Amino acid sequence: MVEQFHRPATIQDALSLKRRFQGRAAFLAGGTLANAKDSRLHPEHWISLAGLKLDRIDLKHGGLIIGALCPLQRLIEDPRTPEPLRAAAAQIVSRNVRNMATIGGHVAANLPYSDLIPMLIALDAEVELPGLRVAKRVSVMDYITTGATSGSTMRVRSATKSGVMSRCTSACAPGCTSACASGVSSAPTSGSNRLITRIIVPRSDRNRVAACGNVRESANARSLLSVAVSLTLTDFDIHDPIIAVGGVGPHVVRLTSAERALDGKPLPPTGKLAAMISRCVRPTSTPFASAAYVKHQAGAVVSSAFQKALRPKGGRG
Amino acid sequence: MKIKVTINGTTCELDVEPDERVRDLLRQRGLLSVRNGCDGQGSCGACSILLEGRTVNSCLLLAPQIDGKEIRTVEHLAKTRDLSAIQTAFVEAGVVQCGYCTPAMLLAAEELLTREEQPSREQIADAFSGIFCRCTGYEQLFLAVGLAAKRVKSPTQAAGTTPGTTPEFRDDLRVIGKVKPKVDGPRLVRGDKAFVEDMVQAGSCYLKMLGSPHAHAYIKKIDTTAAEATPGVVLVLTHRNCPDVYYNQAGQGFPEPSPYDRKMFGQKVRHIGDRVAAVVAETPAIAREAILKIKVQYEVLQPVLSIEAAAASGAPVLHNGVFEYVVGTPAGLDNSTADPRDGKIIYQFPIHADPRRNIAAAVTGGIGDIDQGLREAEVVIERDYETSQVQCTPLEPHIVYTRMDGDRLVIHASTQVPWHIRRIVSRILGISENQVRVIKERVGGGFGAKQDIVLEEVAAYATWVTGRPVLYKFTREEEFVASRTRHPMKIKVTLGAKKDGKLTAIKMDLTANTGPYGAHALTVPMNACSKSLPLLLCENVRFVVTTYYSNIPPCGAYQGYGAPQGSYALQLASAEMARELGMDHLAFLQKNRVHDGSMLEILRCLGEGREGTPQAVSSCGLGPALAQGSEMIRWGVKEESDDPDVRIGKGVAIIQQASGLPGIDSANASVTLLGDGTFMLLSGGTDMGTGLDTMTTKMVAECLCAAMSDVALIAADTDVTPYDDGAYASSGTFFSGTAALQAAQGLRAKIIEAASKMLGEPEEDLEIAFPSTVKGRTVSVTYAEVARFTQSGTGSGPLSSTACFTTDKAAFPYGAHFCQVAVNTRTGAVKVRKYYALQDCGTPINPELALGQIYGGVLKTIGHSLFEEMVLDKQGRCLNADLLSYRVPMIHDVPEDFRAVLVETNDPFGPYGAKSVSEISCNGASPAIAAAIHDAVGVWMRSWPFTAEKVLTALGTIPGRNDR
Ligand SMILES: Cc1cc2nc3c(=O)[nH]c(=O)nc-3n(C[C@H](O)[C@H](O)[C@H](O)COP(=O)(O)OP(=O)(O)OC[C@H]3O[C@@H](n4cnc5c(N)ncnc54)[C@H](O)[C@@H]3O)c2cc1C
Ligand code: FES
Ligand code: FES
Repeated sequence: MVEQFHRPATIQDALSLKRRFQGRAAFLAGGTLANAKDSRLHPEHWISLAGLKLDRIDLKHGGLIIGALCPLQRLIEDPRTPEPLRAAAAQIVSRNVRNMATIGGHVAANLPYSDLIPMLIALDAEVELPGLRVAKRVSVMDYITTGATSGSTMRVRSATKSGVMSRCTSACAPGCTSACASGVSSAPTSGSNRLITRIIVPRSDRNRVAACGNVRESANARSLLSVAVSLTLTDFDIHDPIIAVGGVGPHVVRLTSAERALDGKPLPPTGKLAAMISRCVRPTSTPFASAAYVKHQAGAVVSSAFQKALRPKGGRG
Repeated sequence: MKIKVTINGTTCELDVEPDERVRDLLRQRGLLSVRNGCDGQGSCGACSILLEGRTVNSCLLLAPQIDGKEIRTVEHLAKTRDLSAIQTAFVEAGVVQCGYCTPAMLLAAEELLTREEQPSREQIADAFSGIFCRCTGYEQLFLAVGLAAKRVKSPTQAAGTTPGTTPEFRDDLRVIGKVKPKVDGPRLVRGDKAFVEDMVQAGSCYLKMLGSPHAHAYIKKIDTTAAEATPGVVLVLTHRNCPDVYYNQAGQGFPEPSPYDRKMFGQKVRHIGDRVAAVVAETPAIAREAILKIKVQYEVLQPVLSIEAAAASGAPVLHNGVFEYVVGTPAGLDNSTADPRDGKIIYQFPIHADPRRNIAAAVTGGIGDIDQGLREAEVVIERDYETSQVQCTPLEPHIVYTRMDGDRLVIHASTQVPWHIRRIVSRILGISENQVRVIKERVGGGFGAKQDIVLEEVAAYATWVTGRPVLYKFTREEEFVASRTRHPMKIKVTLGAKKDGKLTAIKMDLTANTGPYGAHALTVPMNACSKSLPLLLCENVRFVVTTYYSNIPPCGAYQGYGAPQGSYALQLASAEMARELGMDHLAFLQKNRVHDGSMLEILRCLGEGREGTPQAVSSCGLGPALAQGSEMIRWGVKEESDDPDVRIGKGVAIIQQASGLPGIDSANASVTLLGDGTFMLLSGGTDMGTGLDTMTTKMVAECLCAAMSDVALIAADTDVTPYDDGAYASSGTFFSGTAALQAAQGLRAKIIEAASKMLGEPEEDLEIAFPSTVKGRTVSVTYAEVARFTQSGTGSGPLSSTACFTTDKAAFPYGAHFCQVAVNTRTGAVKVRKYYALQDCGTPINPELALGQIYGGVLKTIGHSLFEEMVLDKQGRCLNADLLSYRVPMIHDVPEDFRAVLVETNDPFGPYGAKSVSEISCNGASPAIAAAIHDAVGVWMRSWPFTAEKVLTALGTIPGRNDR
């Protein structure tokens, strides 16, 4: 039973409401998950983020600063949005949902099948988390592996260079190589997420390219797999590849062993690359898809994403 | 809390609850166009509104979120009763079928046209990407938006039709074969009060059902005291206090072939979601709260989930009760081992059931000598095909609203069968039929699911015993687990042929899974044979059909009624045979197919529970359909892809259905001439969005040389209109249409008779002419004058004519479907790039609506061919009972090049030469796509859906799974 709908006008007000009501309160952005029929959020207090004026997109130092309340459709329409990010957001099929859903809500929801989070990871994006005095920035990867639950294990990103990641401590999913608090949920639970105020997509190197892809059986289905890759291109080799994959565990994971194996070398032929990727993921069978199928498709979709990224004008970040 | 919001241009301050949904808020404020198809999951878009000019799902919004915002619903589009440019475009393009999704679609179109003057196909698809429509197949939306774009630019074009957008037929007729606004179109595009949910009065009660958590169990104990004691609870129903009457929920003509194998509530539950108890309460929340207080102890039994499990020796028996026969009790009927907790089964006549072996029904038949045919054959193939369970998913879930009118019960129903509801409900309630009135409201999609009485009788009983009005609407989950689905089937096809391709033998061994109760258990599986076998001429044919009970969600009628399964098996087997013979598949079909005038001996053994009559094919457009289709698809030309992973293939299937059930169905209509020369048509025909009302109106307008606007229609109200069996078995055009036509013909004769008296001229010298005039040799009279003459004190009284149409003649619609697929050998993904559905429905009465039926039928079945299926776990629980995890086709699933073509024939038995069009459209996709996949990559997909995983398995890329 909802007692109150709060409409804070400042970030500090939103934070103090959350501190005051703790687990009895939840943030509300677009509401596409929070208000959905099967939502596991049943707060007594909604803290609406709509009044925080966080829906702007700004360019700063060549990077993009996206307000957490920016709807996904607006992100797609903004000419400043890098092409690969636009393509990833457009993979969320329903325009109605894209008109409502916010980028902050999307990251906070941390869905295992997210079509957007892999690209944010591939683009080295960070989330801004306001604190009492200063705001912190953590990588999207760290946020989704540690921030979605209590926030107590939150760690500030240790390095900004792509590919340098913290280690997974709990092996939440095969292939997960991040610091991952156990019990990471695949859907919003207590609503105790740390407030995200902005998503920062850094300016990328001229030679850095990115592309995404997904496997979806029909237009209304969730992605069985969603992937994004990014890499820096030299004449013959690829460097600092990032491979982020959703659909093989409770949250999006990075395939760091494959990233290391590919770093500094020419891209292997498609078949070889696909086989390598398939080996890196260990999904479990579900009634909808066998593990063997998901492994195979992971290889296929990641290698396609690499091909797309390497196509002329294919996936410039 | 208070919010300020501008709704359709009016700013208002509202007092709202913090967790109130915007959808509910708007509906409460009378904005009925905001609908509900997914209970607030966000997956259907039926609740779309424009929020600050953008389409959003209002079920996902809390009322405080719209504070200070501007909202528009479809009610804003037409300020008066005149329609806006977008609304007229939708009606004209034929994209308004049931109309349940239409308000959402209109808003999406409005949003799109506000930002794009001439949107591309891709932009149009994106605009509608969040809105599910089960009826239309989306294709005509592209046309509608194109028309709307023109009309928005030049509003003078807003009214009338744009010539050339849809092909028209029959130059000799005025309204038949012409694009004319669907009679219920304006009402549906305005978002007016139309559906059952719009009829609910303040103070009504709500019925909620406690469904079984077990697929197979006895109820050992049930305690409802706490529920009954909950304030606001009006009634609690269980097996202990429901009527002790056995019936079948199938809406079929009496005596039904479906066994009476259930009561309103049984002591045994036979599927997850089966009825355990109903609570009727003053609010939905109270009903839900009371449900939680019901304590039930079950004796859980092993569930039976597949045909093999049901047929296994020693399998748990679903119906181990007492069996009775109204006629034809089989010798040796043994009830000595019956368990009283299993209740009874009453058969109206034998259907070769053996429930103690889980056999719900069985039938065999054939012509010639199958063994001889196989001996004569030079090539014999035997192939096994399998189909999975598919849900009808009408956008409007099952719903009923019941209330008392004095001492009579009124049922506002979303149904295909108002008269069957009246008969079945009155029998269950133990009252006479004249105490029950069923009013069919607009139906938000039926597709067969609403041929059955799956909730009406419970609400009706609750109202009858309490006197309170009751609303009962299925949740989307209930729609999945407790309404109707396509029967899973296993079909072994044996074909024998000479080397030149001539078929010598066809055998279909078919087993079907009907689920927990036997609704349509005989007729759906039988139809798999009877709507596929007569397409191929062969002297030796045999079919063996056995249907099993099981604990899966109930199966029943679904558009096509078994024919999609049968057609998949037999047509794909014909492709396999052609391959075996080294023959072109099309040439093989041409060699063996029916023609105009072919004698269909096979019909003798294909009656529905009775002997059929052989008949010559009265009209057949297969020849032109195959010729035109093969040209369109460039049959025989191998297409190459520029993607090395992708292979292109082409496939074809020929299809047929029927037009109602000759000898079984009947339809009635009456037409009355009113004082001003206009007409009142009362038709029993039940329009579920297909355009039946428009068709019957056209029949009368054409026959009486009147404007369509001069014919007002009331249909499908058991108090007001004459009897009709209902909308199923593709009977609408042929039966209800002919009834309307014959009533009009009768009235025409009476008008001429009266005019002859008025003018003093012999009847032979008079003829009727448009508009509404009787012409004599020298003078003419208008119908208004005739009406005044007959209705005056010296006249014969108002002129009226009633017709009852029954027949033993069949009019078969035919079609040829062609497709081109692209199969990605790396990912297994199959993309239908081209799909051409060429169909002969005789004279297309409503061309734009006929095309809509074809697009809709095809896309539904592309769905089950490629991805749609219900997935159950080992306990029988449906794991994808919602519109996100169950894969229904959305606009992005539409083939890149999707064309429906009407191949005109003139059937001698159909009204103005018309035959049926809708169900047949479901029969071609699976075999044509499977054949095309084979053409592309050389594997035969013998089990639908042809998912990427199955294609990869067939290609040998990944191991097959054996854990499901
Ligand atoms: C029908 C449907 C189809 C979908 N299809 C896809 C798809 O194809 N691909 C895909 O990737 N996703 C899909 N989604 C998921 C969709 O992208 C998310 O629902 C959406 O992005 C969530 O954003 P929101 O603003 O609506 O969040 P909300 O629903 O408002 O919130 C989600 C969660 O995040 C919390 N939260 C919200 N904002 C913040 C913030 N700034 N800081 C911290 N916590 C916050 C909330 O408390 C809640 O726990 C679909 C969803 C629906 C309903
Ligand atoms: S009812 Fe809102 S999306 Fe289905
Ligand atoms: S017309 Fe779209 S759901 Fe019926």
